[in-house]
This record gives sequence, C-alpha cells and structure tokens, in this order.
Amino acid sequence: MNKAKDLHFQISAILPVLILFSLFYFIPIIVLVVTSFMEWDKLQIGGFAGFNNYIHLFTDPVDSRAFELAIKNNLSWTLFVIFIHIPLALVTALILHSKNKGWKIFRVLFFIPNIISITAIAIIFRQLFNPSYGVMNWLFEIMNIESMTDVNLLFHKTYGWYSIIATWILYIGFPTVVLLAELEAIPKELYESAQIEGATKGQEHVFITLPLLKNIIGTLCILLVTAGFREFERIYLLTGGAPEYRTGTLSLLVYEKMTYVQFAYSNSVGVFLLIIGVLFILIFNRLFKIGKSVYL
Amino acid sequence: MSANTVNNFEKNIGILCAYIFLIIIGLASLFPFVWVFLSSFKTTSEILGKAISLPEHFSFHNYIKAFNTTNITRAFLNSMMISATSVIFHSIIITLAAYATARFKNRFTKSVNLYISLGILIPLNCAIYPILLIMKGVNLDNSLLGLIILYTGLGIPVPYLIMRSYIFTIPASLDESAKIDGASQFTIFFHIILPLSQNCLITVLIIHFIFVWNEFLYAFLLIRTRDLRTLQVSLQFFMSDFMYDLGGLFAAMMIAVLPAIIMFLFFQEKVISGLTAGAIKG
Amino acid sequence: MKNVLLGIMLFGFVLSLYAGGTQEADEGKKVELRFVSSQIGVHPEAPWLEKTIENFNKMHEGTINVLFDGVAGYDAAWMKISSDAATGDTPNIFMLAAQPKELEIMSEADAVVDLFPLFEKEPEYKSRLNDDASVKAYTVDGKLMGLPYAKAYIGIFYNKEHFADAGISVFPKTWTEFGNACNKLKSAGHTPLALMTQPSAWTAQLIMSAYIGTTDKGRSWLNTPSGEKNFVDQVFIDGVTKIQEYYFNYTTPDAIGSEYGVAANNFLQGKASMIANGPWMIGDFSNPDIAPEGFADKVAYEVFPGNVVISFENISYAVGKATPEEEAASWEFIKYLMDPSVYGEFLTISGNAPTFKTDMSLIIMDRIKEEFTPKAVNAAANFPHFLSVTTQEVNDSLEQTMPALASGDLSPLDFAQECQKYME
Repeated sequence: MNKAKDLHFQISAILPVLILFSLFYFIPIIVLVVTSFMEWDKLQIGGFAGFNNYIHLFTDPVDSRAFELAIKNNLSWTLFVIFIHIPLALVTALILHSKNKGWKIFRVLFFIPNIISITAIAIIFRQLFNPSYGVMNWLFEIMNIESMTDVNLLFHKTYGWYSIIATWILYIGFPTVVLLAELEAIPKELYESAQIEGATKGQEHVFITLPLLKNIIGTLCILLVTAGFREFERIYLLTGGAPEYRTGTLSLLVYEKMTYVQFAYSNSVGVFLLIIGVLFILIFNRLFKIGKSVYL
Repeated sequence: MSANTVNNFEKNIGILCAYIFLIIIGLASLFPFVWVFLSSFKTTSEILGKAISLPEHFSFHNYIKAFNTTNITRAFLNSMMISATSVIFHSIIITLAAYATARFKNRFTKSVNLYISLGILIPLNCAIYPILLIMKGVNLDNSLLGLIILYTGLGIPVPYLIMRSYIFTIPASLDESAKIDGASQFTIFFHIILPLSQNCLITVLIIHFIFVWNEFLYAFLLIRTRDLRTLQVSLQFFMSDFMYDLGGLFAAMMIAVLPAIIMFLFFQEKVISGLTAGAIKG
Repeated sequence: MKNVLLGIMLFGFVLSLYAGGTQEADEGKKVELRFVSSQIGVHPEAPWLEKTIENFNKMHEGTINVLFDGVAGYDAAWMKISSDAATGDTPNIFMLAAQPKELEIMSEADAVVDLFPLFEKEPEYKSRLNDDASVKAYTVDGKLMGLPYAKAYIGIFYNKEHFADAGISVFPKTWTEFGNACNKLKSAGHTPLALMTQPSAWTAQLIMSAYIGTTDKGRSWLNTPSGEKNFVDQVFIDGVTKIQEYYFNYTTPDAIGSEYGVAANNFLQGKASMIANGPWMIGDFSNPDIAPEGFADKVAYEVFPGNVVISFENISYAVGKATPEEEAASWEFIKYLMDPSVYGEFLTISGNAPTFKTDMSLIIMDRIKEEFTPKAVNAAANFPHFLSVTTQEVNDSLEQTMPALASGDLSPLDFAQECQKYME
C-alpha cells in the first residue's frame, strides 16, 4: 500500500519538471540529432543525407579548418578551467576560510561579475580592448611596451584567444563560494589529531582538506567545463571568431552555420557538442569518483 | 623563542600575500563595472577622448535619453514581471522533483536524474527551430505567459542539480518520524523539507532570476509587440547597426545591471549560506 | 525574510494580471499586419518609419492595422525574419536587402509575394517603376521580390579642415594623387583613412571596390555572377594589395578588429580625415551626441578618384506570403510607401537616391548632398560594391580574413585564394 502511495508521489512530484524539460530540452535534442543526418540548407528540411554533414565538417577546406580550430579552442578553454580557474577558486576559498578581516566583503565582491549578463561583460571588455581609448592599451603605454600600444589584443594572432580567456578566468565568484561552503562543512576534529602530531598547515591541506573536497571539485569541473562549451555570446561579441577563426569555438560555429541557413551543419556541430559534453561528464565522474563517500 | 618569531613572521608574510592576491582579484572584478558606471556620465566624445578619467561634469543626460527612448520603463516592468513569476513556479517544481529523486532511489528516479542532467550540455541557440515551432504551435508566442513557461523549463537543469545535492543533507530521519506520525509525502514536503531548504531555495531563486532577467535570444525571437518587450531586448536598440552612442549604451547597461546587483546585495547573506549546502552537519 | 518573499510573490502575480491582458483580440474585419525592419531606435530612419506607419494606420482605421516589430541591427532583424519564415510565420512586410543569400532563401522557400503581377494590375504605379538596376537587383527567377526603395551613390567623405592643413586644395582625381594626398595628410599630423575590419570591413571594402571599379576590366570583374567569380584574378589582387597598403600606412591603429562604430567615431572625432560611406551618414555629422559642434560644416562628399561612384542597392520592402486579405492589405501599404510625400521624406532623412519616379521637389537635400549629387550622377562610371557581388560565404569570410590581411598575416594572393575557397 505504501509503495503505491510512494510511487504516486514520485510521479506527481516529478511530472511538472519532466514535462517542461522534455518539451524544451528533450525534443530539441531529438530534432538536433535527427536533422544532423538530413539535408537542410534552405528554410525547409530536405531529404536524408546520412553522414554527409559530418563528413563535410571534416573534409571541406574552409569548414574543417574552422571546426578544427573550434575544437582546439574548446579544449584549451577546458584546460584553463581545470588547471587555473578552479585552482584559483580553491586557493581563494582556503584564504577566505581563514576568516581574516574583511573576508565577507571579498566574498560578495567576487560574486558580482557572476550576476552581470555575459553580454554586458563582453561589450565592456570590447571597449576595454580598443586601442584608442581602452584600458589595456593605456596599460601598455604606462609600461612602455611600444609594440603593443596600438594593437587590439583581441585580434592578435597568438594572444587573441588568451585575451578572451582573460575576460573570465579571474571571475571565480561562483566556484569560490561553493568551495567555501564545503570547507565550512569539514568538522574541526579531523584537524585536531593532525595538529597534535605536529602537522603544518600545508600538510593539513594536502592530506585532509583536498581529499575531502574531491566530490565538490569534480562537480565543479563538470558544471564549469560544460558551461564553457555553451559559451557563445561572449566570443561572438568580442571577436566573432576572427581572425580566421582563431578565436572560434563550436557554439560559435553553430551560430554561423545558422546565419547561412545551413541548419544541417549547425546541428551536426551541435551533436558533436553533445557527445563531447557527455564524454566529459563520464570522465570527470570516473576521475573524481563523485558520489562515493569521502569519509571512511 | 626564535622559532616562534620565525613562525610569526612567516604567518604575517602569508597573510600579506593572501591579501594582495585577494585585492588583485577584487580589482579585476570591480574595475570594468566601475569604468562603465563612471563613463555612463560622460558624453560619447568624452569617452572616446579621455577614457580613463573621471567625468568632467557628472551629467545624467545619457540616463534621461535611455528612459525616453524605446519604452524602457515598460520593458523593465515586463522583465521584472516574468522573472518574478517564473522564479516562483520554477523553485517549487524543481524542489519537488529534486526531493523525489533524492529520497527515492529506484530505476525511475535514477533515469530521470540522468535525463535532466543532459540539459547542461546544450547551448540555447541550438534549439531555436524546435522551440519556436512548439511555442507557435500552442499559440504562446508573443506572450509574456509563453516566456514565463519557456524560461521555467529552460532553467531546470542546474538549479535542479544544486537543490538535489542540498536535499541530501536533510536527514531522512526527519521524514521517517513524520511518516510514523502518519504524514503523507506531500505534507512532509511542504511542512518539513520546504522550510528547511529556505537557504538553498533562495540560491536557486537568485540563479533563475538572473537567468530570466538576462535572457535575450528567445525574448527577442518570440516577442513582436513593443509593449511586451523585455529589458535586454530594449537595450539592444542602443546598439543597432551603429554602435557609436557609447554614453547611451553604458547608461542603458547600468539600468539593466543594477536591479540584479541590488537584489543580490540584498539577499547575499542568504545566497551564500544557501550554497553552503552540505555545511551544517547535525 | 518571509515577508519579502511574500511581497515579491504578490507583486509578481499582480503584474501578471496586466500581462495577460495586453493582447486584445481583434473583432471584425480588421487585418493585422506585422512589419519587421531594423529601422528603430538610433537608426536614422526610425522617426520616418514610425510616423509613416502611424499615418497609414490612421488612414485605414478599422480595416488595417500595421504592427511594427522593430529589431535593432540588420543581422538580428534578418535572424528574426528567417526563423519566422522557417516556422511558417513570415512577417507580412519586411525589409529585404539585395544580397544574394537573402534573395535566394526567400525565393526558394517561396515565402514572398511576386510584386510584378500586382504592379501589372495598377498601371499608374507600374509606370513609375524604373526599369533599371534597382528592379533587376531584386528580381529572382522573374519574380520581383520586393519594392526597391533605397539606393545610394556612395563616395567618400572628407574633412575639409584636415585637407586645408595638408595643403590639399582639390580632392584627388586619380589614385596616385590619392596616395600623395594621404602622405600629405600624414605629414600634417592627420591619419588619412578611417578603416575597419569587423564584421565585413565595410568602409575598407568600399575603397577596395572603388579602386577595382576604376577600370573597365575591374568593372566587368565586379559584375560577374557571385557564384562564378574568379578571385585569383590580377584585377582583384591589385585591389586587395592596395587596401592592404592603406591598412599598413594610412589608417588608425584600432582599425584592426574594430567595427563600424569605431571607424565612424574616428572620423566624427577628427581622428581620421576620410571615410568611405553612404549618404545615410550625413545625419550623424550634426548629431550633438556623437559629433562635435559645427562638424557638419567641415565635411564634404566626393566621388572616388577616377571619377567613379559606387551604386548601392540599399533596401527593399517585401511582402510575405500569408492569407489573401493580409497580402492585399500589405500591398496597400507598399503603395502607400510609394506616395510622393512619404517617399520624399524618406529620401530626405536617409540621403538615399530614388529607385522609382517620384516628385523630386519633395526631397530636401542638405548642402553636402546637394554638392555631391550632380558629381555622382555625372560620374564616369558606377558599379556595385564587393559585398553585393559575392556569395554570402565570402562576405562572412571577410570577418576572418580582413583582420589577417590588415595585419599582414595574409598576403593579397592568399587572401584571394581564401575568398576562392569560401565561394566553393
């Protein structure tokens, strides 16, 4: 009897979310996957095209270059997230955890960029990078770096992509706050026995704190990496992928193909995004063994 | 004796370094916005000429222009309305679903969980064609109600995951004792879980509010009537093909950004402790 | 805390009562038309369009109502129009540019009404249509896709003060003189050209097109169909080399990576002496928000060296396929757009040239336009610009290739080869 009532509850509790999600996420995913196998370069969908769209992405001289660069950039973004963005957040969280004076203010300050729409941030940075009146070039002037004072960093052959990375890499508000929360949750007793044995702060962190944080770090990796793949407006507004797609990403490619009304290609890139995303989720789950308890 | 002083010295250097680090990041976070804020009081020519300086005269003319052009107060109210409404429905339905999948571990809930987690993979602009068809099909295009429903749906994945992990920290024993007293699942939900999740609810509320407030793509594609436009769409009118009125652009951006910041500062204590999900262990 | 939440909830619910009610059902025979265009906000033609639609609605009160769905920015407007058309909901009237891709898509999707038969039925209006480049530009497969509305002769604006500083009394008549003039400007401390690269290097490609179009060979190259162009042609490569030279020597440092706004601002703020652009820019010179006082007096408009101008098909208005009543009502609006006083105002405010016969006395031209028009009309040759005679892929590729060309990473030959690749 209870089981039936329970089932009844589960279904009615989950139903609203299920319906809305299926409507606005699942159906589009199906459409995405199905149409990636069809011809679609006018307003109406054409016939079946098999793997042609995917083959095109790998072989067409123009598109495959854009595709390659996009994947390279996406992966580079991922590396920055894992090896710089999240570690920065970790360090910040550890510092704030010591509750030195004013830590609450910093906590709020760091979170502010996260509430501003990415569009606004992109537009602001676009102005900041303008050689005539932007801050970056003013900085170069004071530092007397002649060769760079007139260059728009965003469009630089090598530094362009890194300039884009610079617009978010220090904005660690979200992961810092999450990590801080988890740090609060660690019982003090765990450190006491270590302190009795004379461990230094460093050793405490490496052997006690970090292992305890593995779950949340893994989750953050998943959330931030997938967010990185979904990033579109920022790059579109900053450089639009120029020069020569060096700052292009997969989601930018999707948009571009849509403006050519080549929906088939944009959808195949979309499917790629899906596959890569799922792969990363699986990898991170494995790597960090998320879900397994940290306490023995 | 000397060991202590050395230790103290190291400790102080450590703290100094820590502060320098924090200040650098703090400056990076604040600077762009302060710059836009100050620049919004300059004329466009001034911005182009002397970018890094305080405004010569603090003039509000950009803001006045922003309010006079394109119905921006109406757009503001529209955005406020859909954000507030969507947020309320959104919080309730995802908490319900999160609760159900957190407490009951069976194949059904496990697959629902996986299913919804897929949502974090899709960039919004991949789904334009199907979503437009669906909205027009049920006649919900060009309506604020339609946007509310759409946003409530689109905002599901991440808040759902956050809420679910928070619910894990509410001891199941509370459920059990309530059940022994004869309470139904719904009663447990409304009288125990919901109040206890207050913190996380506020977090989810803020995340979703910010999402709806800042959303542009579908608001722009679906709405056609001037009076129904949302704020982000109206802001684009300062850009158009001719993005030279920087002063006006910055003023408009400040208008768009301020409510989010104010709301955040107001609720920030709760937000942060809400993200403090698994913190308080019994 | 709880009270605040409660407050928000009530506020939201109360407001939502208002939201539901804004869509009023139309009783009776009123036909609602949806008009999509980018002439809104800071767009110079926005006031004209708003007034025109208002007047039309007043004239047809009770029978036709045109709803203006304005979208800022041509690209965004096009995105809306195309996604609407793709979901079976083409706007009733919308602006359509003479770009190959737009025309092709609309034609293949059969989403617009062919205007030729409609004109046939009304000889009075048909007689005003000029059988010239404009109508041809909008004809696909024998169908007139839209009412050609705006076309422009494009030349080059220059700052008379800067030219006086450099001791140049007559605007250069040949490209060699042009180069010399640029050098003189530089010696006088001015940057000669306002160029840009994103997203389509508009002002730069105008100069490039002008350079190519100075010769017969160049003009015939420009006029080859977009899908059949051979980019690895000396005529084109010469043009590319020239513009690269200008990027290297004669323009502002922020040209690479800048979009139109930056180039425009450079000219308006006196940081650059010349900018190639269409007559629609004239209004900006007197706009106090973006140009210094008295700037308009310093500007003159000239034809390009070689006495050539670029003729540019700007926009047309197309009628989307819909119910017969809607199509008929839309046609009424199109005819209203041809009304001499309406058109006269449009031409005055936009600085464009008429595409069909109208009462010229109703067009008020400012000094700059008045000086320029006779020169343009009497120019030795006119021709389309680069972007309008190449495929969409090539157009969009400029976003990627121009910055590289301007910084020297791409050689002119490579640039040409890239264009070739994109066309295929």
